[in-house]
Amino acid sequence: MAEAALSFASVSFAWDAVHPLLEGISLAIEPNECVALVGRNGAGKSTLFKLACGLLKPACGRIGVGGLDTAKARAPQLARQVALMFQEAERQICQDRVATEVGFAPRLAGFDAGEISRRVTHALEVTGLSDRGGSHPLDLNAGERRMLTLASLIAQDTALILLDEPTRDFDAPQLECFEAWMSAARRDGRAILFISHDLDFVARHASRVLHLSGGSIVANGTADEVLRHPDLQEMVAMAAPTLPALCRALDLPICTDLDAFEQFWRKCLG
Amino acid sequence: MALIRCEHASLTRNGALHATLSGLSFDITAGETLAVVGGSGTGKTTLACWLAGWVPHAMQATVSGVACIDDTPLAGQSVARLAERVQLVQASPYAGLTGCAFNVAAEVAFGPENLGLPEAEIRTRVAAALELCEASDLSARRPASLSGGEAQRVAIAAALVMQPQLLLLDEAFSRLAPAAAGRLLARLSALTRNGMALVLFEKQFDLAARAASRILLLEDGQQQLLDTPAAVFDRALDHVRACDALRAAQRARRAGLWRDGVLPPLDAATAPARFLDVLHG
Amino acid sequence: MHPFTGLALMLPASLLALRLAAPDRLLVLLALPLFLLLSRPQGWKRFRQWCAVLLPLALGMLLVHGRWLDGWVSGTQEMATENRVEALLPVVRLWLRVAIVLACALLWLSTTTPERLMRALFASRLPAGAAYLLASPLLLIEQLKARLAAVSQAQAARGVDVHWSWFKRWRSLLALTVPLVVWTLSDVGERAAALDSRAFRSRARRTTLDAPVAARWERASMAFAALSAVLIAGSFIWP
Repeated sequence: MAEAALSFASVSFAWDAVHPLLEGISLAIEPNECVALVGRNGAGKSTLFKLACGLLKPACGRIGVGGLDTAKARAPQLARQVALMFQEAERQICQDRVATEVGFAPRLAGFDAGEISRRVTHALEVTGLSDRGGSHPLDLNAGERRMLTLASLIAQDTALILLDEPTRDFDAPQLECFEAWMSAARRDGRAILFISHDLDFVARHASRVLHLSGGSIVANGTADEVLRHPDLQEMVAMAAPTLPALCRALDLPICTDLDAFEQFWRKCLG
Repeated sequence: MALIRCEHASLTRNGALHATLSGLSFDITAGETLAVVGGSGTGKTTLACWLAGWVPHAMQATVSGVACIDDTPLAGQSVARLAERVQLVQASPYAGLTGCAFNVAAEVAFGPENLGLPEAEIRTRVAAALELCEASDLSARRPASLSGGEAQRVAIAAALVMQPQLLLLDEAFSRLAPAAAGRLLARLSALTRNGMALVLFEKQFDLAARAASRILLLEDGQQQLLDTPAAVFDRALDHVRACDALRAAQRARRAGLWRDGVLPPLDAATAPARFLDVLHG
Repeated sequence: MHPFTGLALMLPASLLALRLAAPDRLLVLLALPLFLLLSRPQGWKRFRQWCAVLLPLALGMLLVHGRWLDGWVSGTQEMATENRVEALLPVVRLWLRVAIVLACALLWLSTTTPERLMRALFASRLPAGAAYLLASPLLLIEQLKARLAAVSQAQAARGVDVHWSWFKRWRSLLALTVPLVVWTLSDVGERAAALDSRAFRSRARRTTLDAPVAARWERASMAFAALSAVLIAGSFIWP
């Protein structure tokens, strides 16, 4: 049986003795899965990501990433297994040219110049930043800066990818580009775990949704099952995911992608 | 009488080859809510800073055309003096922090303190602003320890406490959950009934359409459309985000699967009704 | 206690330390603030801070000025004890003066908090800009620490190992410090804009909430301190 890309075994964590944040968390993400983590602000989602990367150590329990124990493995080893996109893109930027920024992680990992160059070119192409390779990262607009962190992730080339609010700064074309990359990454067999407030985006991509509340996973199921919860959104008729809700309201077969909806609607109009 | 008036206004940032903004012709009256939408890099933030009086001291640029507040040109105004009337909440919530407050309440009170208001009035205003932004429980927190969403609420409170005539929100809800953003926007809309003008700079159509009576669409820094949300719908969604239900409507309209005379939906809640109107006539 | 009271009293104390020459008198002058410091809450902690600076300083000065270091390095003849004591006298005086000033400063810091000091600065007659310049460093350390932590985490996620040897770490140190520096520098312009957006320096008078108020005895002490400072300074000119 293949090793889980990410596994939490009864993990607990607290910032101080008085207020535990996460208690007895157990989950497993298989390779090729795309899982969403949702929950209120302050529930501990970003903290869970940092634990998964080995940036924080659990108070008890074990966290496994691609066979490594995060409590025992060192940062360079973990960086080859898991890559994290932070909520605030600017925190990571440390070079003065886009191309050097993207090549930072492969350089640290010790790859040769040819391999680094290949990875950087590929990453810039996928994210649409090929013509910005020589620019200063802070000259990019917010959406492009987030694309830059994505490019850095692509160059890091890990089996597990953690995305914290990845779509925040994107406009429609950038979102399309990002979603194309996500589909391709899944086809490549990578495991993706992401946090997002955009529940329609969650429904479009997540095969499974985990709801974190009160320090533990309270729900683990499909988007339709998990997202309709008062903690996450107002419980109205057209609550997210909005496309299935629209299908239900119009008595059409439930679908989750826009192409399928267009076909059903065309048939409906006759 | 318009508070803000722009006629064929354009702005070129120092060092830029082309105009950053051009062809701007719009006005904003008291109590109105206008939304400026556009994709990444189309000049929304530049326009927001221009309206806040940042040109030329905080943003080096040359301007042409008419861009006035109460018939005085925006360029060359002292930002500090203009701050009593125009408040800008920037996209990055930490950018608005002063760096000289030990807690959130002091951070929010900093502005009214600078205006020399009496102590009692400052305290009342601060409490009201924090309450409106659902940030009252943050008042004893250190500003450096705030999360993104918390910092955004504090930044909006710090702008509201100045009781501006014009409030500019540059993607100020980006870090809030949709429900929280909706609630906050509803409260800000309620404030416009007291005469405050509100301008939202957004990449999310749903949010913009919910509150605004008119939408200005920017493409590559140029004003393309200035009209009701329904009129701007089709073109805007090519550039900005919207929920799946709205996107389905846009695609249906593009594919000719719509009925003339039926307006596009402006949020998820009204989508089923519009589709049914198309179906049944 | 108003933050400026202690600060005002430091001035004549420091001037007096400069004025006195005899080590025994300086010792008496040192004993007073040290005794007061130890009697304050958290006094031992501050006393340890005082020792942490002054003891190594004493050692260093002894080695250098007592000519022991000289002797070891150059291998010259040992000095006679009386000569050594004579050579050490000015050094002892200097050390005692530094000790007095530092003890007074620590004593003053124990009477106020950074928050009260900031409010006192803003409420004072100082121009608002100068008050901001003096006050903002009080928060800078905390902000830099928070930022360093954020940047360290971001770089650790990309493979920078904080447990590396120093040789390997020098390259990664750049990865940590460059974002921090860039962030802080770009911050300067942002801060200026943020202050302007809050109408900073738009009016001649600004209100300060919860401004520390100087009690009558404090105002009298500050006046006394100013007068003493003038007298002691005068005694330099007219011995």
